[in-house]
Amino acid sequence: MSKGKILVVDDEIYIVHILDFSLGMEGYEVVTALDGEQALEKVKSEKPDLIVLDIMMPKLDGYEVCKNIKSSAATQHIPVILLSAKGRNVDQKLGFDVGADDYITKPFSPRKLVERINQLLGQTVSERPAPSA
Amino acid sequence: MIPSIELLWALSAAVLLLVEQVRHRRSLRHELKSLRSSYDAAIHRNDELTQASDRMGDLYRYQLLTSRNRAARIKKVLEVATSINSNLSLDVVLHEIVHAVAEAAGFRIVLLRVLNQAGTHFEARAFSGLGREAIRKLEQHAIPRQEFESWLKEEFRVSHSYFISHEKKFWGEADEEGYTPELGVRQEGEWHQEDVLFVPLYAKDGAAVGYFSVDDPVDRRLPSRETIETLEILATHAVVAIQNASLYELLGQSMQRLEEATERSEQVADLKNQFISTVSHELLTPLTAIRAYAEALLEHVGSTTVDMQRQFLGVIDEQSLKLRHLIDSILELSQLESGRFRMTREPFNLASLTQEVAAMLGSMAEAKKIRVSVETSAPEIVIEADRELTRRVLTNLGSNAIKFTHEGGTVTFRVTIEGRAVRIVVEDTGIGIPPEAIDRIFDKFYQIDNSLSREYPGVGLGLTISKGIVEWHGGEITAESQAGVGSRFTVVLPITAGDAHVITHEAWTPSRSVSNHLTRLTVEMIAEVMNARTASFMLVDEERSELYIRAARGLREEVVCGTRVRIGDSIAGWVAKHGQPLLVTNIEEDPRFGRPNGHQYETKSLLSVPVKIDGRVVGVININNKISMTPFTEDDRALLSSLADRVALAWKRVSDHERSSDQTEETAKALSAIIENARRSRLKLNAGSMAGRAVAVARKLGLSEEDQEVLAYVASVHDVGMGQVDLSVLAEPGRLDDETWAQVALHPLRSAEIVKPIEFQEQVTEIILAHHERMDGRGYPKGLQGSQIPIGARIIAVLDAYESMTLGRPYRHAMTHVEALRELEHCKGTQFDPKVVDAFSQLFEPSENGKLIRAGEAA
Repeated sequence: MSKGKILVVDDEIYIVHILDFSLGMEGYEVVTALDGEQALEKVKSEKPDLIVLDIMMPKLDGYEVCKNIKSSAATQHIPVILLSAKGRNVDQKLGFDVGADDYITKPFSPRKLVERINQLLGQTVSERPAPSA
Repeated sequence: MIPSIELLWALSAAVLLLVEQVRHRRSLRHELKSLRSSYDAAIHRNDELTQASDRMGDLYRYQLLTSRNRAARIKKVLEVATSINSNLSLDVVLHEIVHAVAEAAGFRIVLLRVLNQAGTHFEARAFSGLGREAIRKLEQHAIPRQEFESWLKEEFRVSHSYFISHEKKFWGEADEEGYTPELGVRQEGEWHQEDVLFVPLYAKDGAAVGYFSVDDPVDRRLPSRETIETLEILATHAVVAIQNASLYELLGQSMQRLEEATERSEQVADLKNQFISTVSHELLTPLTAIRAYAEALLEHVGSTTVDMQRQFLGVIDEQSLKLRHLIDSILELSQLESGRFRMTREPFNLASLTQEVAAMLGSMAEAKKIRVSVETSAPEIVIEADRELTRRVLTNLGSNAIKFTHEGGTVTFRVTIEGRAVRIVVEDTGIGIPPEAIDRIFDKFYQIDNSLSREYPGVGLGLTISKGIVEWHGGEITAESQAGVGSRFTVVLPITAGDAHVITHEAWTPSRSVSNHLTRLTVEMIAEVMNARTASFMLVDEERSELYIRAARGLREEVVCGTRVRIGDSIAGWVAKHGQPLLVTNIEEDPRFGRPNGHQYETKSLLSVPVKIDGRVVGVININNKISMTPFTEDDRALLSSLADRVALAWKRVSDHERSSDQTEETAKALSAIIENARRSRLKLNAGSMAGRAVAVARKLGLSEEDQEVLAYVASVHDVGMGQVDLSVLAEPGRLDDETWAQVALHPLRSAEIVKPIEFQEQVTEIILAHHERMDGRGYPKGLQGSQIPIGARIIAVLDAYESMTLGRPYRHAMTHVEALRELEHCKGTQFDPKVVDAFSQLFEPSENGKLIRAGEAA
């Protein structure tokens, strides 16, 4: 039984692979997307429990994707962690402004990212009514 | 993590860029400040002038208030003065002035002409009492300055003005102040329609900046003193107005330039900020992968398979390399941009370099089944450039072409000579570049789109760096493409570094005049023989005790036309004053002339020698920026002094025989032949400085300093006669036939003949003639023996043989230093003078890259 489904979005294929590996080892089911448009499609079709989202991507950037997710009633409850090389305060602020739940700068520690995910999912899982109820 | 240290380096390079930027702004601010102060000074001067004319006005009020008519004139004058000071629009002010002149001085026709900006012509700028047609004609006809000046004859002068009577004679003697007392009372003085009155507008320095020309007085009388002086007061005001307006215009222009510069610098700042954020993003991307994989590997080392671990390590390795490559590229780019790039120019065969690069790219191409071919217009295309940097450009263009070409396509390198440049074309049958992207492909980090960069990885700096390298060589790189059909990149590089034009400048007519053509050749000859990118020939202006630049290569036109050096001042001035040559190895450290290095000098070394005719210094020759980028040496000094003596002789002969075009033509021929010879020998692969070697051997053998100089010169010109030998005969293997042999055997005679017009030392001709003689008497052309051969010729013979052996011929491989030396030893006594061979082998040794250097210099 998986601990939950996580959508990993990054245009850098290596990052997608390593997150797939690390989260998989942790017992999560991982789905991936390589750009913003693909990410929105996967959000709809896969209904992930959490999204790890890169900012600088072709087609649609991470801010736009996050805004989109957070403005739709069907998806706004999904926690979003922005993962970006843009490390300035203004970038972070912009991230929180579009509704991100957390902001992690690259280079990042996969260990710490997993901890954040555990934390965020722990909270949301407990707050969510049980599916059977 | 090692890469992060280098990352810091790259980022600090980026910070340096920003600091530079701030410094640039500071200097702009400084410029603005100095402009302000010059504007303040102009306003102040304007006030002074106004006060002066007010005082004159007061004087006139006192003197002339006796009649209402006069009072009205004064009023008008004062009104104009007010108007001038409150109005900065030149045309409005000039219009008012001419009308004031008409009214106050009583002339129906008034014309004001103003000297144009170039200072060559007086242009009609304001009119009173003239019809449209007349104005149009006047506007079309500017008066040349000399013509105007020819009118200003003392015999026509009245006060500060000039009256040219139709009788062409002066009507009355001027007193000491230049004023004709009886003018005002002259009874019979009717104005004649051909009379003209000029009132020059004198600036503070006494130069005429314009003039009034008046005609048709209302009273039809000759002008009185009062009238003339009224005109002169108005002229003072006109000068103020003109100067104000032009200062104002100048200020406006400067302000605009400043604004543009500020805007540009802001744009540059934006670009640099953008660059830094892009750089950090590009650097962080591989670093992120390295860190994530390393940590994951550490954490799960016990629970992963060896295959998986190998895969992770592979990613780390690959990304580290990418990071390394990125940092190298950024550093290289920042060096290119800051101009601190180290470049070594040397002659090399571009055709074979291109073959090498194509072969190296072969394996990359093979994997994609792409055919890489090379077409060159000749097997040997020698250019003078930085070999490794040129290789970088070729490799970059070639690998790009392969990267963006599908399987089974072709990539072609084409190298051709075009005049004094080479054209390198790299053409592919690849995916092409969309038209909207073609202008941006040389931008930093530009990649057509990110999805392409995944498919075709690269850091996006290759083309930017290539462009930098090509431009650093004075060349040009362009791209054309058709999406889906292919791309073509074209690089044009100058063949030699010195292919800049010589600019001539005639500042003053010297007693000895030499044509521009000959002057140009002289400078060209000096630059080529001395291997200098910058050469200038200065002449002495005895009247002003100054030097000015008569012709130069490698200097901007405004420097050539604008430079004047006082005799005794700075380097050239010192040389002119003392009549001694001057060798400066490092201008920044020289105690005599220590100063920061000007940006026109790439290297810190310079050499300056006097040109003397009959013992008097008539000019100075300066050279900078040795093509090899190394400092000038004492050997260079010896050679340049020797050349300066020939230049002096040539100039003396040509100016003494001004009428004889034969002299000029022969001299021009000699100079041209020397230029061609210098270019030819510079483009020989691995050729060293013959002059330097000759001086060294001569010194070792104890020859006098004068003989050393002579030899330096002979070493540079002894083969000018070879220019007439059909070089293809030398390229043919086997024995030379009689006719060809005759050609070759005659070349010493030819060489001597060519340089004769600029030769004054018998010795030089003797050495040139005898440099193919042999100790055993079996040489040519005369068959001299042993000590019959001048020592100089014996030295040149050895150097010449060594060079020809080590350079090789198409049919004969180039010998190594050891082989060549063995051959020299072998022919000691028969062909060569033993003591010359010994001196030579003791003095020189081959360096690591096979070049000949002075023994002991390898460290």
